[in-house]
Amino acid sequence: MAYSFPEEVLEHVFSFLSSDKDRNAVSLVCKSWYEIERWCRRKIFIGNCYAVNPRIMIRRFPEVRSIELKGKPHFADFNLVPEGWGAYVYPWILAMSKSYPLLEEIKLKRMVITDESLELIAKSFKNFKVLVLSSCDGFTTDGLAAIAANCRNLRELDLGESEVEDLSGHWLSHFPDSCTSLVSLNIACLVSEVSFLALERLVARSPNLRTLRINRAVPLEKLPYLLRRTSQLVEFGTGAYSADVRSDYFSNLTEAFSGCKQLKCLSGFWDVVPAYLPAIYPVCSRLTSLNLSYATCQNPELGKLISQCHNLQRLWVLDYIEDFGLEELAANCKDLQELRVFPSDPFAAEPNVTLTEQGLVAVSDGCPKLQSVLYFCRQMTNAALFTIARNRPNMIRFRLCIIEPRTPDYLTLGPLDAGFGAIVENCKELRRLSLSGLLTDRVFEYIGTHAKKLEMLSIAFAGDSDLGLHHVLSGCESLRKLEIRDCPFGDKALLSNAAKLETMRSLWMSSCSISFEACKMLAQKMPRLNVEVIDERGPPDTRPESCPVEKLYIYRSVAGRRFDTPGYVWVKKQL
Amino acid sequence: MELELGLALPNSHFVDPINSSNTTILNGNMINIDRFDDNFSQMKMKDDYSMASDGSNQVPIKTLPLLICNGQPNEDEDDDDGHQKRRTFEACYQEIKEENGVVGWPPIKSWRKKLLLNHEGGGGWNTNNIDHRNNIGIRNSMYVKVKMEGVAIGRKIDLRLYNSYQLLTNTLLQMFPRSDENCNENDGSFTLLYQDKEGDWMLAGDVPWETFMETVQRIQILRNWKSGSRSTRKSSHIS
Repeated sequence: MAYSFPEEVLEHVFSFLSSDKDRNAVSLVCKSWYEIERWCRRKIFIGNCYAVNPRIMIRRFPEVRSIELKGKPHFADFNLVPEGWGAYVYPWILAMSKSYPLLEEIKLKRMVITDESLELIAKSFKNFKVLVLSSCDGFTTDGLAAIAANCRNLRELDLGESEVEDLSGHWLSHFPDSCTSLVSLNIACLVSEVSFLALERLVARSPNLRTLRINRAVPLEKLPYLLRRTSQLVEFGTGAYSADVRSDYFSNLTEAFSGCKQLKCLSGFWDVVPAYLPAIYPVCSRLTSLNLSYATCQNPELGKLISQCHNLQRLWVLDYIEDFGLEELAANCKDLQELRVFPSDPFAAEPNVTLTEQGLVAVSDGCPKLQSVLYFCRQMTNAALFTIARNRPNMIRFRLCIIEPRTPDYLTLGPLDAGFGAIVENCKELRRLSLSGLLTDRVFEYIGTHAKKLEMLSIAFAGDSDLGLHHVLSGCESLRKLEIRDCPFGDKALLSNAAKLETMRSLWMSSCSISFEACKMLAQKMPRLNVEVIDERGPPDTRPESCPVEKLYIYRSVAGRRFDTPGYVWVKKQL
Repeated sequence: MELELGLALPNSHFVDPINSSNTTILNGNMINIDRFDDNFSQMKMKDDYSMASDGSNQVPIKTLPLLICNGQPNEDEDDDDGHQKRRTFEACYQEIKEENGVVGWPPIKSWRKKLLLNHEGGGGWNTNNIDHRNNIGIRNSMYVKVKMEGVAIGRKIDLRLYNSYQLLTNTLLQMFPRSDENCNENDGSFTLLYQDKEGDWMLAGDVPWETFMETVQRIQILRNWKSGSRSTRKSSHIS
C-alpha cells in the first residue's frame, strides 16, 4: 500500500475487533500491521498453558490487561488426569507481575493456583479487577483473604467449581470497608460457613452487584436479609434451600424475591424443600436461566415450577424432570436454547426415573431455538436421533451420554451409527459433539464426511479399528480438540495423520491401542508436538509392546517441551 | 463388566495378544498408504443410512501421512471373514476399574459426583434419620427406591414429603400405572412392602409411621392376585 493510515488510526480501527481470530488475521497482513496490532492487544486467550510460555507471550504482547489461561485436559474433570500433572499458574503470574503492572483480569480454568500466586496477584497489580477460577485447585481461603484485602477495585471474584481448602470463613471480612466495586461474587463452591455478617455488609455496600452466588452453608432463613440488600441482582445462587416449613419464613422469602425486579438467573437450591419453591414463583416469568441441577426435587413440584418460566433460555436440571416434565417444558418454554439433564443416580444398575429418548425428542420438537444439549439417559434409538436432527438443524452443541457403555438402539438392537450420522449431516453448524452408545467405525465415517465445523469431539467405548480415528482426523477440517477413551484406535491411524495434529490444540487418548514406539516416533517426526505419555505403572519401555500406553496427551507448542512433568509423565526428548 | 460388553461388539474379532505376533514394528520411512486406502474401499455400506447413499460416503484422504507402520503386512488387514482385527487393549486396563464401573464414566464432574454422594448419604438409598420436624439448617433428604411388581422402571421418592401411610400410598399409586395389560389377573388392589434396616421385607402399616420412617430402606408394591390365579398374599390391601 502506497499510502498508509497513521498508526493511531489503525490502532483505533483495530480496537473494534474483539475476536481473537480477527486480531490474528490482522497481524498477518504485513509487518507494520503486525507491529501495531501487538502493541495494542489488551486481551489474550491461551487455550493450553503449555502451548506457549510467559516469556514468548510478553515479548510479543507487551501491553496486556486481561488474560485467560487454560490448563489441564478436559478429561481431568472426570478424574482421568492423575494428581500433580501440572498446569501450575505461578510461572505465569511471576512473569506478568514484572511485565504487566496494569493487568486487570485473570481468568483460569483447570489450573493449579497456590496461595503464593494469589498473594502475588494481590500485591503486584494495582488496578486488578477480575479473578475467575473455574475448576482450579491448590489454594486456600488464606489466598482469597489476600485478594480481598488488597484488590481495592475488585469487580469480579468467581470461584467457579474450584476446590478450595477451607481454612476459615473469615476471609470475607478482609474486604476493606472502602471496597464498593463488586459486580460479581460467586463463592458457591466453598464448603464451610462464611461469616454471614461480613457477607451481608459486603453486599450492602456494593451498589453495582449483579451476580451473587452463595454456598450451601448459608441457610434459607438468611436469604431474605441478603436479597433485601441486593434488589438490583440479575443472577442469584441460593445456599441450602431447606428449612422447617414455616409460614413466616415463606412469606419473608417470597417478599424478598418479589423485590428483585432485575432477576434473570437462579441457581443453587441445595437440599431443596419443595414447599419453599413457590417463593420464587413471582420472579419465574422473568427468568432466562435456571439451574436446578443440584435440586433433588421431583414432579409435580419440579414441573409446576418450570412451567411458569415461559422465558427460559437455559435450563439445567436433574433427570427427576422425567419425560413428562420435558414435554411440559417443550410446551411452555419456546425460547429455550440450552438444556442439560444430569443423572440423579448414575451408578445404579437400573433406571430410577422415566427419562428416555422421548423427553429429548419432545424438547427438540417444541423448542425451535434449542441449540445446545447435554443429556444423560439410559436408552436411545436411531429413530429418535433422526427426529432430533430433523427438528433442530440449528444445533451447535450436542452431547449425549447413554450411561451404560455400548448400549445399542433398544428397538433394533443395532448400533447408533445412523442416528449420530443424521445429527452431523443435518446440523451443519455443529461445533461440539459427544458420542455414546454402541458405535462402529461407520459413525466416524459420517462424522469425517459431514462434520466440517466440528471443533471438539469426545469419544468413549466406540469404533472397531484404526479406520474410525482415521476418518475423524482426515475428515473434520475444523477439529481443535479430540478426546478419546476406551477405543480400539491404534498407531496406524495416529501416525498417518500426524500432520493433522499440528492444526489442533490437543488430542487425548486413554485406554486405546497406541504403543510407546509410536509415541516416540511421533515426537521425533513432529518436533512442534509435545507427546506426553501418562503411565502410572512405571517406564513404558519396560513393558511388552503389545501392551499399549495408559494415557496419551498430544498438543502443539511453540515453547518446546515442558519441564514440570511429574514422574509418571514420559516425554520423548527430541534427538 | 465392560470387558464382556466389548467382546460383544459386532464386526470385531479379538486376537490373543500373546499368540498373535502382531507387535508393531515402526520405522520412519515414508511409504504410501495404499494398504490403508484399501480398507476404505472395502468398507461395506450395508447400513440403511439413507442420507449417505448419494455417493458422498467416500471419505477423501487429504492428510498426507508422515509416518506409516511398515511392520507385519497383515496387521490390521481384513482377515478371512472380512472383519477387522484388533488388539485386546482392554486386557491391560483391568486394574484401573472402580468397583462399580470404569474410572471417569459416566462423565460427571468430580465436584458434582461428590455432591451426589453426599446426597445419597454415602451410597446407600437412604436416609439420614434426622428428625424431620425439629432440625433446622442443612439437612439431607430421605430418598428411597420404590418398585412396583410388573413395572420395569422404579422410582425414587423423598419420604420427607409425606406424613402418613395414606398420603404415601395415594401418591405411589398415582405414580405407577394402575393396571397392566399383562397382568389382567390383578384384582385392582396392592400390597405395600418395605425393606427395613436388617434387610427384611415387612408389611407397611404394621408399625407407627414414625417407626417406619426410621427403618425403611426401600419400598416395593405388589399386585394382589385374583383368588385362584395365585395364592393370595395375606396383606393389608390398599387401593
